[in-house]
Amino acid sequence: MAGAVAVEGVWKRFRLRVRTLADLAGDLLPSRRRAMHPLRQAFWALADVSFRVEPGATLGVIGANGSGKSTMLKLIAGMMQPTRGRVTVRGRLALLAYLGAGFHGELTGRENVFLQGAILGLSARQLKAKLDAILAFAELEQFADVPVKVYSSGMALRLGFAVAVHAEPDILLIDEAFAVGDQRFRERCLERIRGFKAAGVTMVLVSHERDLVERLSDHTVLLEHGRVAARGTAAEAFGAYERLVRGDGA
Amino acid sequence: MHNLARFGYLLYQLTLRDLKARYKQTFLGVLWVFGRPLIELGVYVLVFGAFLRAPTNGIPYPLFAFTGVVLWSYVAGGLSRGTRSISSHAGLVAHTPFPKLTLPLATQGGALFDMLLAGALFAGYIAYHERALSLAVLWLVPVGLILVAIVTGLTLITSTLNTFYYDFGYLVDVVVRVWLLLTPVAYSSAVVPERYRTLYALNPLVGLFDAARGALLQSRSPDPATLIYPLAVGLGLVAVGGLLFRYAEPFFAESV
Repeated sequence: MAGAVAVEGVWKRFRLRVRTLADLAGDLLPSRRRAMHPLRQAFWALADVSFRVEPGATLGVIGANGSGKSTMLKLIAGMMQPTRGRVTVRGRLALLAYLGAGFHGELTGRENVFLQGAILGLSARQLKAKLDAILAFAELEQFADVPVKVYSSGMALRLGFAVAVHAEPDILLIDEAFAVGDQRFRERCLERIRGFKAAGVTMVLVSHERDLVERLSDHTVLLEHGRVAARGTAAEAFGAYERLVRGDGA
Repeated sequence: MHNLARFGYLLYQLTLRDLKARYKQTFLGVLWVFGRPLIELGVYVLVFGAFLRAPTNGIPYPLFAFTGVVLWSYVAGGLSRGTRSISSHAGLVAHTPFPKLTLPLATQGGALFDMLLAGALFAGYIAYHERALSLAVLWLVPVGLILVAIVTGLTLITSTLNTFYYDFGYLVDVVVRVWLLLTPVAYSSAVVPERYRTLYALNPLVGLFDAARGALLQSRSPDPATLIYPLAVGLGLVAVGGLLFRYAEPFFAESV
């Protein structure tokens, strides 16, 4: 099954506030609510964002830091609920972001493959079948039984990426996951991603790298302070982005 | 069905991690599982057994206290660690889509495993004392399940609140300590004066600990009526905790 994503008029508000039991008391006593929350603030991370990703297509999402790109991916991944609007997802998801967040330093590479794989929704049977391929992809066969805490940060990231790309998603969400390892490993990651694309996996790619977005995406949207500032081809979106950056600087 | 199998496998992996991580990090390793209840037991034997001479209805005090210590190790471990299970996995919760319910449940699994290991030690102790067991021991199964329901339901509530209010965990620590004193772990509920009995029995663990002791050490089947209240509390907590957790889960990623 090819996955599809529809984002319709999505708004997302975050609240910034000090959170202690005093706030709980404040929440429970409506009359004191105002007085208890001097630091309660809200800001809109996304404002009226809409787009569709058709089955097998790749959408690039670009924009400055804090423009709402990662929030958008988390909404698609179902990790957050939009404050308004609707996100519809059809198919199995995998999110390539903060690889290795589930690793435990005391456990070995092999043990962490099973742990991380389970977190990504792989079954015991799938993981047993893919263990060797995952370790080979990460080039960590020799270090499989060493605790991950003694890995270099590059090794840990490679392992995280290797597990993630051995999931079998219909929809692949990628958040800046390419700052991984050396040039050679990066090329292999890209190869793997292109393989997903060729196999008809639907993708949403968040990145600052023009080259990457141009190579992979069919459509690109530019986010600016949570709003869609431009959409079109990657070249068009990056053109708009550059005008925006220059405009801010002037 | 497919999803349920994956959920189960993830729960298994997280429980395994909970156990491995704790035992690899500590100097004494698995010995810690035995060491902790034994140290607690030693103190109870000294203070309540030797100093205060707590009445135990003819049961040797060490046996009496060991039952309480083993059961309590699950209550304290499951609740304290479970409360922090979401906030202590902030990176994972904030950046990875997966069913968060597995985190508090995995800490329950880890705490239960600790209890069963300590229980195995206890079984050896009982065998050494050549105490006869009867079929009444089978009552430990429903009693254990009700205990799991109570602690798991509470943990779902506390782990949710601890995600939104950072200092909630400290409150839980205090409550666990007070709860220990208000539960017949080191002393018999029979010492509670008549006029406090009703109030005291509001603690659902009282009926459970009494029933477990009777079944294990006195071959006595509990009056099923005494288990109705703990069962109702357990089911209520699981229902409330489950609904609260399900309602709050979409907000975890932005709150940890």
